Amino acid sequence: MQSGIADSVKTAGGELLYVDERKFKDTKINGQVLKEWPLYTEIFEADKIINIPIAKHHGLSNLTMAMKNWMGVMGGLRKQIHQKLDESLVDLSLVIKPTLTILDAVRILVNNGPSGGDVKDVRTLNTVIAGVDQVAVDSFGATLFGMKGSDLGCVKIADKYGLGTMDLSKLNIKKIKI
Amino acid sequence: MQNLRRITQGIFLLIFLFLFIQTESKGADELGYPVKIFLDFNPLILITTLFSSHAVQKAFYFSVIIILITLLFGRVFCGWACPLGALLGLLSKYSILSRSVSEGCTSCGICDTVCQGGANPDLKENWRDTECLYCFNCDDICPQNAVSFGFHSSVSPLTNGGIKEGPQKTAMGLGRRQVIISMLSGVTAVPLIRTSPFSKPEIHNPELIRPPGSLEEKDFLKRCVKCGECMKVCITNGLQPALFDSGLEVIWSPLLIPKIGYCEYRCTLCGQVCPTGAIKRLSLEEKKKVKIGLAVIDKNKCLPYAHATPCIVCEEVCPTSKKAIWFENNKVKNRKGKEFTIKQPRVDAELCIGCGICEAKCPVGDSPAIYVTSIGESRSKENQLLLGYS
Repeated sequence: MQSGIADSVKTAGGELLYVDERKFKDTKINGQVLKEWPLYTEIFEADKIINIPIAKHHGLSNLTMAMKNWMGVMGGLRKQIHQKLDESLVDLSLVIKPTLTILDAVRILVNNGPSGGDVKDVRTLNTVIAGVDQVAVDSFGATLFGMKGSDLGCVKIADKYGLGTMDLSKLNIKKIKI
Repeated sequence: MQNLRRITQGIFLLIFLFLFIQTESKGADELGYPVKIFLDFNPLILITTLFSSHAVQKAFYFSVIIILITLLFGRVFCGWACPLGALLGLLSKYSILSRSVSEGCTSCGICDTVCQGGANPDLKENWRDTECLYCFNCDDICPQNAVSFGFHSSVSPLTNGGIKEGPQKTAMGLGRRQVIISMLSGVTAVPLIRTSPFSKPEIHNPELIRPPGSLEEKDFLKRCVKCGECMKVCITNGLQPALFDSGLEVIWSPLLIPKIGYCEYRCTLCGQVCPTGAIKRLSLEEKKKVKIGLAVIDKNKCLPYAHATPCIVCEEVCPTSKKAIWFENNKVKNRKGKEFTIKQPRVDAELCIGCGICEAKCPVGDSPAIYVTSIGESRSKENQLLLGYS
C-alpha cells in the first residue's frame, strides 16, 4: 500500500490479491536443475498472464528483469535457487509462458539492487519495453544498462535451448514515442 | 433506568466492536485514527506515562472522572459503559451456574458491599444477575450462609441451598503482617535483582537485540513496563519477550529474534505504541539510521565459503542505501580440484544496522550462516566494535 499499487489497481477496475500461502502447489518442471517446485497455482489457472517487472541491478545475476521476476511465484525454499540461479530461471521459463511481458524501465536502479539503493542510484529513462518473448525483452533491457543480452547467464542459456531469441538483430523492434 | 443502562452498555459495546474492526492494518506506517483512540484513552498508558515521564495527558482527566464517579456511586463503569461488561452480560443470560438465596437471608445488605460486579445482590429477585461475575464474595461473607451457587435449572430465590460451612470467614484474608511483608519485598526485590552480574553495564548480551529507538539499557529498564504493546504491533512478529537473558529484570521486555521476524526497514510502529517512551518515537528517516546490532558471517556455514557454491541472498535482501553487505570475487576450488570464481559476502560494519533480514532469509535455515548480535547498537556507548563509535 505504501507503493501506491493498491490505489492504481482500484482505479483501473482491477482486483488486488495478496499471496496466499495455501496456493502453492508442487509443479513438475523437469528442467536442468529444478525437477519439481511449488509454484503459485493462479498463474496456471488464469486465462492470460502478464509479467510487469522493473529493471534493476542485482548482485548475483547482474540484472533482474523479466525472467528473474518469476521467482515471485515460487514457494518453498526458493532462496536455494541462487546456488544455480541462471539455470533455475531458465527451468522456470519451461513451464511459465507469459502472454505478454512489459518491462518497466521508467526509472531503473543501476546499483545496490534489487532492494537497497538510494535515489542517487536511480536513472529516469521513461521507457517501457513490451514483448511476447521474455528472453528478447531481457536482452533489450540489458542494453539500457550498457550491457549485452549475452552478459546475462539466464538469457544466454535460454537462447541456447531455443526458449527465446537473444540476438537483437533478428528481432522486429518498433520504437514508439509518446 | 434498567433499560437506559442496557442502552448505554449496548452503545459502548458497538463502539468497541467498530474500533476493533478498524484496527486492521492498512499498510501505512503511521497509526492513524480511529485506532489511535485506543492509545489515547488507554488508562494503563496514561498512568505509566504519568509515573515514568511525569507528563499528564489530557485523556487522563477522563480516567480521573471515572474513578470519582466510581467512588461516589459504585461500579458505574462496569454496568453502564464497559464493553466487556456488556458482552458478559449478554452471555450470562444463558449461564448454567446460578446463584440462589435461601430463606435465612435477613436483608442485612452486607453482600452488596463486597459485590465485584455491582450486581446489587441484596435486592434478591430484582438483583442484576447479568452483572454477576461469580466471584463468590457474597457467598463467603454472608453471616447467615444464605447464599449458594449451583447448577440449578431455574433460579429460585427462596430455594433452600447451602450447606453449613462453619464459622464465617472474613471477606479479605489479608492480614497486616502480610501487607507489610509484601511491601518490603517489593521495595527490596529490585535492588537485589540488580546485583546479578548480568546487570552490570560492562556485560553485554549479544542476543539482547532491542527494538530500534530503545533507550540505553539502564534507562530502558527503568521505563519498560513490560506491557507487550511493541511485541503485539511488530509487523514481522520479530519482537519477542525476553526471559532470563540478562538477569531477572528483563523478563517480558522486548527483544528481536531475526529467525522469527526481521526488523522491517520502513516501519516505526514499536516506537509509536510504547506508552512510556522506553522505545522512542522515531521518524522513518531517523529509524533508518539507527543501528540495533551487527551482522556476522559464519564462514563454516556460509555456502560460498564452506561449500564453494554461489548464493549471496543476504546481499540481495540487505535494505540499506549503500548495501552493508558487499562481496569479493574469490577463486575457490571444488572437490575435483576445479578452480572457479565465486562471490563471497562480507559485512561492512559501518553501514550495517542489524535489522536481521539477512539472518531471516539465509538459506541455511536451521542455523543461519549470517546472524545479528547486539554489538554496535546506536543506543549504547560501550557495546561498540569500531573505534570512533563509542
